[in-house]
Amino acid sequence: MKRLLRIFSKPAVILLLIVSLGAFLRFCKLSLFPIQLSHDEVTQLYDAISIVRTGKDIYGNKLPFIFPSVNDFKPPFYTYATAMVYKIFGWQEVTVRITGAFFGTLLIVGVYLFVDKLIRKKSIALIAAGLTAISPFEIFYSRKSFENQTGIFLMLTAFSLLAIYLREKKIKYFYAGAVILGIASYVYFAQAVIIPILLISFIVIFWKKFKPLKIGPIILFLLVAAPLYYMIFVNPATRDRTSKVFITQDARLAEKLVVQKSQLGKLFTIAGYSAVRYVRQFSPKYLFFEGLNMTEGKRDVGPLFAVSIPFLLAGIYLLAKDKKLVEGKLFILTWILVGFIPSGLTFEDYSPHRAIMAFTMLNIVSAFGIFWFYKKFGKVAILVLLVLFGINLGFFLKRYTLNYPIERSEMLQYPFREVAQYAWENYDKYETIVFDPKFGEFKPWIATGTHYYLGFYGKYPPENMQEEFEIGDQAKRETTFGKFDIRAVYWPKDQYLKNTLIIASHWSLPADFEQKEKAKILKIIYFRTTAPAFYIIKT
Amino acid sequence: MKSIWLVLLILAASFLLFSYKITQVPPGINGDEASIAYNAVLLADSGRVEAGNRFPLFIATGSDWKQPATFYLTVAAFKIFGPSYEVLRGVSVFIALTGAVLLFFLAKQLLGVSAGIVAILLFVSTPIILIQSHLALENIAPLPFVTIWLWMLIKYTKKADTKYLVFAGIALGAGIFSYYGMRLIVPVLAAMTIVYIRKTRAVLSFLGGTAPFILLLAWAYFHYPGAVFGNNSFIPITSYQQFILPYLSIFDPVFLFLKGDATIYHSTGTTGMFLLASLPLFVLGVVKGIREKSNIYRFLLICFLLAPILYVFVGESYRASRLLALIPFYILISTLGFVYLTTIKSRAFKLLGIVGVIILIVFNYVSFAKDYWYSYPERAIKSFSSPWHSIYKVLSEKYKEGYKIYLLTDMAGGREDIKFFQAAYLFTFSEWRKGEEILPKSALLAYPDLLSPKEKSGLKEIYTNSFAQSIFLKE
Repeated sequence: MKRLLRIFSKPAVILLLIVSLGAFLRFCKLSLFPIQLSHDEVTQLYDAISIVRTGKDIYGNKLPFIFPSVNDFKPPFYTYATAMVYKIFGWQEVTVRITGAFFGTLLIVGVYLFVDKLIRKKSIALIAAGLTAISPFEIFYSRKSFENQTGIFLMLTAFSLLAIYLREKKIKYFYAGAVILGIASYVYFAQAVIIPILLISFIVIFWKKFKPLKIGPIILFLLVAAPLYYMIFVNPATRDRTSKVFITQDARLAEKLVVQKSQLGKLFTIAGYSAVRYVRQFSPKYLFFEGLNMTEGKRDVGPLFAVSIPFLLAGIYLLAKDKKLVEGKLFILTWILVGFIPSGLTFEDYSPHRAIMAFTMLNIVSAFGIFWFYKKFGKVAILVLLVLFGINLGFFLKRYTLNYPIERSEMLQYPFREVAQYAWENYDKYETIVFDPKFGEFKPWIATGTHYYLGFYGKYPPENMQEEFEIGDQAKRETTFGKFDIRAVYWPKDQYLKNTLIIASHWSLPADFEQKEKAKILKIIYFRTTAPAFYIIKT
Repeated sequence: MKSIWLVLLILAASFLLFSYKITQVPPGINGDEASIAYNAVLLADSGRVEAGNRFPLFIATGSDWKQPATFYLTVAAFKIFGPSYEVLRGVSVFIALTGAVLLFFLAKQLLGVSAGIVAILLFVSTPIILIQSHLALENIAPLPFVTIWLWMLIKYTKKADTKYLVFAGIALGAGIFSYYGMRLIVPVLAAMTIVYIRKTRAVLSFLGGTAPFILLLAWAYFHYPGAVFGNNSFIPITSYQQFILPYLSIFDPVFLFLKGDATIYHSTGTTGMFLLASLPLFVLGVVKGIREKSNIYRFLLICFLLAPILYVFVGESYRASRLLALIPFYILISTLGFVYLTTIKSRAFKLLGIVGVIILIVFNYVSFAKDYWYSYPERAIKSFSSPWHSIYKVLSEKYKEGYKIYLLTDMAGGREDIKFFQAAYLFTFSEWRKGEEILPKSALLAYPDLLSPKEKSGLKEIYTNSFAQSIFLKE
């Protein structure tokens, strides 16, 4: 028994158990939760399949640096990574999620390494890893095919190597860290901005230990990252992507800018508005109670556990008090402040998926508080922590598995899968299938990537899509391929189409349609909330 | 000596700053101001308030009870300077300046003279101070009491003389009568004081100072029904979120530094309770305070965090107007942060930090003040009453010139603001109904749209305001 306890108290074994728990929470029923592929997922997956089969995306672009996708110009990493996973797992939904879940699990190890090498306290590193394994935002985004986890894992690994270099003075670690940072820049565009800032901050904070600074690794980092920066400046698609998500897309800011006559005035207005947006990211309500936005009107869940509040405060207190390892703590603080910049500069009020690295660092700070609590209260502390975090985790999982699939399914464009599958089951029976992507339970919006959903769920050969795909009115997301005509339905005219299957929501049909044209309705496809989403109509 | 002149100079500048547009921003008197004003005029003149009592502890108005601190200060001001709208709001300016002086002494006691000057400057540049100095309300009244309490506590920390604890107790006890919210804040601060001083004799000295006020409050509970807690009712807490969320909302950085109070009376909506530019100083102050050997800084921080905790039981989040008692803590911690900044070894970083913070604070405050004085009145105009004070000033002048004053029936209602202005500007008026003859040598206050052309003939319009209220003269 004692031997067993000794084995299980070894850091490596504990880490393995934590990683196993994290892997379980990320991989368990990965295809079922979230309930359906989002438009981001299906576009990346279908483009990945296209890349494997043809070397081109579905628009015929050969090995693109940026994927036009649905006019959102996606960074390349996740799609290419999914392409590799596709080669192993094949044409199925879970393929696109495996990369995210995999790197989300690796991130746990990344956190452990980072804390261990930077702060040199294995116990705190293990606690931080444990928090990472069970944190709501880590689980949520690991299962949602987000590339951020990959980028953060690479960054944590890189800075761990730099920390080792500072201690052992072996230049190979500096080179390795620089290369990995360069690679990490390619994962997500925001990281291309954040990484240089963090690298410079790291060098400045640890300047005394870096002296004399070896230029070689810095040059290597620049060489690895140079093509990326070149493409960012040269490629209009990347500029397009940036402009689509930048804070100036916020209608409220646009109103304020209109009244500014001078460029300086506009600049100050944008700066002021961005400062407000940035500070908002520190709202306790958002961080601990509502940020993940998984329910409608019920108690929600934040990216961080609510029970971690006292530990976070204790962590802040301890970090401020302890005069040792100042540089390490200063770097963590810098990472938090810098980590919120991307979400502070985009058009949405809150974009938690852009602040994941900041949440990871906040968890590390909480780990200090938890460690102090454990040192103070021993075994009682363990019990209390298990109960508190267990309850909070249970609450999150309940919301994630019960409420989120129903109350937020529309955000994932549910029930597009069901619609696509029905359309393909009846593909041969009709000359044309008209699909109006305007839908919504309470207010209408035009869904994105309809052709991707149809292409993927119909196992439509990407090479065919490349040849047949045509774009119509982009404002209405109008596209055609095969028999599919994805466009706005105009019932007064479309009802007279011959041998056509029409798929539309009530927003595109007359108010009394369900009563008057009951005979033409083949099927009604519902939202998870049981309200009708689409009517499938035969003309 | 030099520092005294500098402090006086700052106070003089602050007086000008707080007094600028004092009756124009915010536009119009509000109901609470009017209640205090009218009762203060009555008491100053006759020794009785509207309800008929002589020198009551709490003053009954239509909607609630007014606290004695601000009220009797207003009475004294009216007695000395005569009643007017300027003097009414000037009482809040006086409280703000008193708070500034006390903060100087408090910061000087803790960190030295230079820190005292920094504290005054930070205090004066706190947005909510400017806002509250322009409102003849009780929200700002807790400031001097909390500051004195803290000052005496620090004096005790340095000199270990229990008489300071008695003074601290008196200040905190008296502070209970400055504002409703202090009923919730004082118990927490008192508890914190007891935990801080710990020794029995010290605790007894402190409690000795507070005891008379607690007893008085207990007596008032039975003799002034509803005065102790007013219209506020306690919300039962049935879940941890119901407790945590309102409490955390107090420290929401958006609320504290960007948006301010949820009501347009107490906030411009574009700047928080504190300047965003002061946040770095506060953060530095927290770090420095945690590292200091002396417990007083950690005490300040804990008080800042815990003082408003009982507010969760009354609901309503994002009410900066109820949190003025936190200002001394914030200013002291920020001052400590500034002092910390001046101790940075690297000259370049030190200079960059100090100059950078000063520029940001100046820029942030100028931007706020400009908005407050020139844009906020337009945004807020619908939430405030008509600027009656300017109308009644003109009517008062005409009354002194021998004109008979008439008010259109709709405007002659028995509201307290009208009663105050009538009492303050010393004129009597008669009600005028449409159709009645207007005698020569009369001044009529009416809405021009409500007068028929026949009624208007022979009248000369001499004044009008943005609420379409006009004064007509018939010679």
